[in-house]
Amino acid sequence: MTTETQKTEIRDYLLSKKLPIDILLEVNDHFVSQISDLEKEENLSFKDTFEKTKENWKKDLTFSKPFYKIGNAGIPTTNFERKFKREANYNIFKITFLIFIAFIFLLSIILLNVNYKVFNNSVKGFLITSIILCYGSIIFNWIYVYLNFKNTLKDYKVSVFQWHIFMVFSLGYFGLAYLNPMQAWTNEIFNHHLFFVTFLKLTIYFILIFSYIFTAINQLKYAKILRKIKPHLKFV
Amino acid sequence: MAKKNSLYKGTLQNIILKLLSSEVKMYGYQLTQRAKELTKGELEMTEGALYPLLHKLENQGLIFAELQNVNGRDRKYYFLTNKGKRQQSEQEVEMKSYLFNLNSIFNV
Repeated sequence: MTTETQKTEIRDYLLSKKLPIDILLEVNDHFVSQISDLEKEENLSFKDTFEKTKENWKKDLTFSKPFYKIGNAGIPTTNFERKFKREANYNIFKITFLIFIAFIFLLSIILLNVNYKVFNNSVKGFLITSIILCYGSIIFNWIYVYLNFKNTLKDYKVSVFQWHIFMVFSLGYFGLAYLNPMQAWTNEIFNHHLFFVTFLKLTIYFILIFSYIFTAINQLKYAKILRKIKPHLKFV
Repeated sequence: MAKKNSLYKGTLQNIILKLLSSEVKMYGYQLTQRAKELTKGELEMTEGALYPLLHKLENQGLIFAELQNVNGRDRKYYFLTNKGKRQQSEQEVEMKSYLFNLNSIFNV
């Protein structure tokens, strides 16, 4: 039977691996179960079974960084977390892509069937809606975390879904500045004049919409996880 | 062992869904131990393969998870959804057909 001190030791070890809390809770239970079983089966001490379990998880809990990351900025990530991130990103990318295709289809229908004023307002409307969804969900989660946890979560990662916000703040600021005034390039698109600069602005517009939707979906999943794990954050 | 496990790699999803269909609920460590027990130690699921796959299946709506407190410890139990049960039945039929065909070839 694992003592409270031993459980704390296991948890502190996993916290040192900077695992997101939603993953850590599961891995913690696995560690404790694995250690308990090894103690019974092999009649070893906690120290020996803990070392054996750490060795078993060594490859997964080793820190690594992706090829595109320069230096050691940011919170380190284990191979284990990276697998979750990869799967999460791929899944959200698929959903975002489907929504994006639907949006392109709708915009095309509007372009071909209505007057310029409606088209221009639609272009602005889609952008404003995606901005509201994106930043609205980010702010909502910030407020939820502050009200429910104050600053206790600031040193922890909660979920693989809580990131991807730097992209929309930096990209959003410069992208929106570049797209103004919108009438200048939406007018050219409406009249089928696709010059290089117009094409570039349209591309940036699409990238912004895609990024906002991608981030909003991440934040919605993050919000769901926050509620799920809130009753279980005794150690924070 | 790594060489043997590579044959199981593509069927891990089938194995997980089958194990979950035979029990009401299971947690991660229990899945690894059950698979090991049924195959008499031949199949050892790595945690690096199991947990990301469980999360993937959850995202796909094939399973759902619940955090429950067990002996003062938080444990995540997995359950099959109705969609997961249907998928598991279909995959089991495909798997049996696949194994039958393999058997035909390897018994030559």
